[in-house]
Amino acid sequence: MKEKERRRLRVRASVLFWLILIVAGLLGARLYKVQISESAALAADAGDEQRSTFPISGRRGDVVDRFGVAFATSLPASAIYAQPGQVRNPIHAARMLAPLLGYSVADIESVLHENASYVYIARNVTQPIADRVDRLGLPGIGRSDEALGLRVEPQGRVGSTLVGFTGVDSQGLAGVEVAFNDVLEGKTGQVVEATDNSGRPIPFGARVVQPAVVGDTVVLTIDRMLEYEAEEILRATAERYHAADGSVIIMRAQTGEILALANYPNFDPNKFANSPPSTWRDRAITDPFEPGSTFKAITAAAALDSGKMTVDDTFPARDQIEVGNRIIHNADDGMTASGHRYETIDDIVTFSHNVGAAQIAMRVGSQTMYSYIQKFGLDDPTGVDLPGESGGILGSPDDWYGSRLATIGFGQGVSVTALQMTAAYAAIANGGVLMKPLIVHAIVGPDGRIVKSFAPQVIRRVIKPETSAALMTILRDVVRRGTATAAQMSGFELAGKTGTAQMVINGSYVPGAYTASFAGIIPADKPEYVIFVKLDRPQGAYYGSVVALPAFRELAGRVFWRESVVPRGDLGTITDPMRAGGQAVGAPGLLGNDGRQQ
Amino acid sequence: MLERPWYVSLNYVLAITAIALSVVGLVVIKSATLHAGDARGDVAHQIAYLIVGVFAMVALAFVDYHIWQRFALPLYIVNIVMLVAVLAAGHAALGAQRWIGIGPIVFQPSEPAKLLSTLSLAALLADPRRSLRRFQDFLLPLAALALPVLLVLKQPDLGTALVMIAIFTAMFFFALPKARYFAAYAAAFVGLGAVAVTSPFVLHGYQRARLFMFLNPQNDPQGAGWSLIQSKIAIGSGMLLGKGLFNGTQTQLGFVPEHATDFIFTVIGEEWGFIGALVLLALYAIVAASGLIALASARDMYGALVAAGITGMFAFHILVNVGMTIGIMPITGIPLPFISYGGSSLITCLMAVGVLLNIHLQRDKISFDDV
Repeated sequence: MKEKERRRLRVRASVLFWLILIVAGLLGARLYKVQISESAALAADAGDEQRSTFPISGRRGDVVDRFGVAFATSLPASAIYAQPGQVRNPIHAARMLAPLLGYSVADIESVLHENASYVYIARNVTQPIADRVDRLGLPGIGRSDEALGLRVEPQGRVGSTLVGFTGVDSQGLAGVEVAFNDVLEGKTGQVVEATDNSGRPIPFGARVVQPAVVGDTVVLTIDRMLEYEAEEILRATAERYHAADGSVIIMRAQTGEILALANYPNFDPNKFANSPPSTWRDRAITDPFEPGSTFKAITAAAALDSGKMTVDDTFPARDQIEVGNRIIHNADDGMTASGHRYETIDDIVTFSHNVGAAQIAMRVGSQTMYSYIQKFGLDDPTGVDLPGESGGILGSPDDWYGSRLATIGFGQGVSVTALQMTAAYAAIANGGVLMKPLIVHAIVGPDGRIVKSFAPQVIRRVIKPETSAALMTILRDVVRRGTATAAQMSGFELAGKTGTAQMVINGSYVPGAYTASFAGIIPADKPEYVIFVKLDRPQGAYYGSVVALPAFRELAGRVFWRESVVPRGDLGTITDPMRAGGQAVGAPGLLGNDGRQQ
Repeated sequence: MLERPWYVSLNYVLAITAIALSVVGLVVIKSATLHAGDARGDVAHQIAYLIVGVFAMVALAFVDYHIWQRFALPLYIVNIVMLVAVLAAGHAALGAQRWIGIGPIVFQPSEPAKLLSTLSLAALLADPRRSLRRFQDFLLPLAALALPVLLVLKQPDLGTALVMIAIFTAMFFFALPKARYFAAYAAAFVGLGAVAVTSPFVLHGYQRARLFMFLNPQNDPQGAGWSLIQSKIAIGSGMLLGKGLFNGTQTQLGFVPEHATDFIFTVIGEEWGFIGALVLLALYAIVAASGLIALASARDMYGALVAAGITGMFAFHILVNVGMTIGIMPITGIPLPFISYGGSSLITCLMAVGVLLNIHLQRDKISFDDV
């Protein structure tokens, strides 16, 4: 090579050398920036990318009755999954799994052929079934824990409309399950895991677990045994009279605790989707109805407590009066056959005279009537801790035109729910204090400690104790000598009021559609329990004394037996409380006063 | 022919550095493929490639490089035939057709094409009958360059095409008698380049998107910008000393795509940190310096141009590959020499070192002493 060429090469080589050096410096400077200057931020980004947080749900708490018997509980459950790529013989696997999981062979096979790395075959499978799947040892088939567990309702239909049910993710959808969802729901824990770009956990990667907390248990005021009796007697009665629906409430008068709350129809909460949504409703609190004659006790309370009338005041006994262009009749001729030309408030309630009740209401006046109805809590919702509660339909007394005040006197032109009516009768029974209906006794933590207890809550004093005592006398007379003599039970004192009302549907009275009800207070000499029975659209008979009274009487016997109420009197004539239903339900024809009340 | 015995003249430093870089590559590939089953790359294969490559390097170190000058035309034809064959019957992967099989051997012709182009085009440029002082003297070399470049672009393999242009430019820089000719070439090249990147006929849409995305990766963090953002996070999280061998998380966990091949520098940056990255660049500096020494002391123009082409090839590879992982170069799929997984690339790099070793072996005694 010529020397000139050589020199040229060397000069240019040194140029290239410096160029490469500059490039190297550039790379080094940039690396310094990325790895030293900005490294902290970038390292933080890296950490964020690798960390995946998985929530783990805590098991849902139980719903139990006042003695701790479960209405709803969550069992440990498993999910059965497949990794289709690893399943060797899908047809064989599907045939083995189908009978265990309750799916068709074809369904399982199609799942096993899915183009996915991980698919669920069945969710919420009980442990024994999952164990049997395990023992099959099928390649590519596995089980994983269902964090929430499988919600089951061991009592079946008993208490179903009250307790409600949960959805697929164990979220409360109805009843106590939804009202106390926050309490029942477990506290979600979390796993923070190091994961790769596909979200798969890294073997031996960081794993921080914050354990999930099991939800609290809701202890109801319900007595499962009385709930069962209420449901059964209601169902038998409804079926006997082909009633469309009905409700029963048993409440402790002193505390407002609900011992039983039954609705007909009800549903199987374990298969709630198989029943129409109308059967899920807690009708006793959601459906206002015109109460009819049971309301006369409220009218009498207003008259006596306001001092506008006394028990000795009398009205001329009439079978009809004209009020605001409307003629109000007693329900049946012969009502004056009580044999008197004049009648007292006691007579009017005892024999359920509409004319008399209308006259009382008109003498009391709309403002006073309205104020007592309000005080009895019959307008506003009771505030019970259940979802979907409705208030009454009363309107303002300024809008009570024509005969409205008069008809409200005997329970027409006013609507209430079964629970409102029960709470109002409890106030009459307990000396005059309206108690907030209690459905939950306590909330108990997973460790067994009481998180919150629900003490009886006085809403307000409604009537004076003397008024309460006077009303109890009147309501005892209803059973002693009035429309509810069929409720008599030797050895026990009962009190109550029958009710029969034409049903209002879409704002007008429907011919032939009645609500038959009975509001009872037991034992009458020492009032402790209110039993409210109500049936809609009974067929064949529709009087409260025929349709609802026998159910009340039978339930009263059950309550006496269950609550150990000791009978008084000659042992030879004492009714077996557990047989209280037989004669009354079986022999409606024996009831002497069938026709005497509205 | 040799003034001193080969074992005295051999550039041991270069040979050992090349093998050391390849072994580093094995370790890094091992780490890159430790967890993620979806990573391309397999250490066992790479060890086999390395053994073949070292044999080829040693063999070429003792083959007189003038033979490549004499058979430049056949080499060129073989090169073109392979590049045409890969288009006609190649295997496609990742949207590009780059592989070709001869019997059981599957390789990427675009890798040896870099060396074959260097050896053949150098012969054209070093031809004393071509003074390179007249315009028409440039036509044949440029046309000879254009043919393989266009074939590679057709695959499409923009990265390799750019490498070939870089090689040619490096050789041109040393072949031209006047510096201003090179300045003219450079100006023309920049002009053509500007036209090329904006013209829809030269670049695919995705290529252009990838070319310019590096300026603003956050514009498309889940798409075109993903690779770069993840790559910077991985390298940055390595900090000064790195997370330690086999302890890289971003790379091993699949956040960085192609982390055993084109983005393998991210593994080094993450696991060995700033210090490790600088050590790696130092090793490359030894290779480049050895190339420059061979260039400056080459026995003749052909040797000097081949050394220039090979040095330019390595420098360009490193600049573009490392640069793209840290966001100063567009993302073009070219491997990191000696390190990236892949037999074609590794063996080509080692063969190129073999040729350099031979040029160095035959250096002028005087000139060597001068350097």
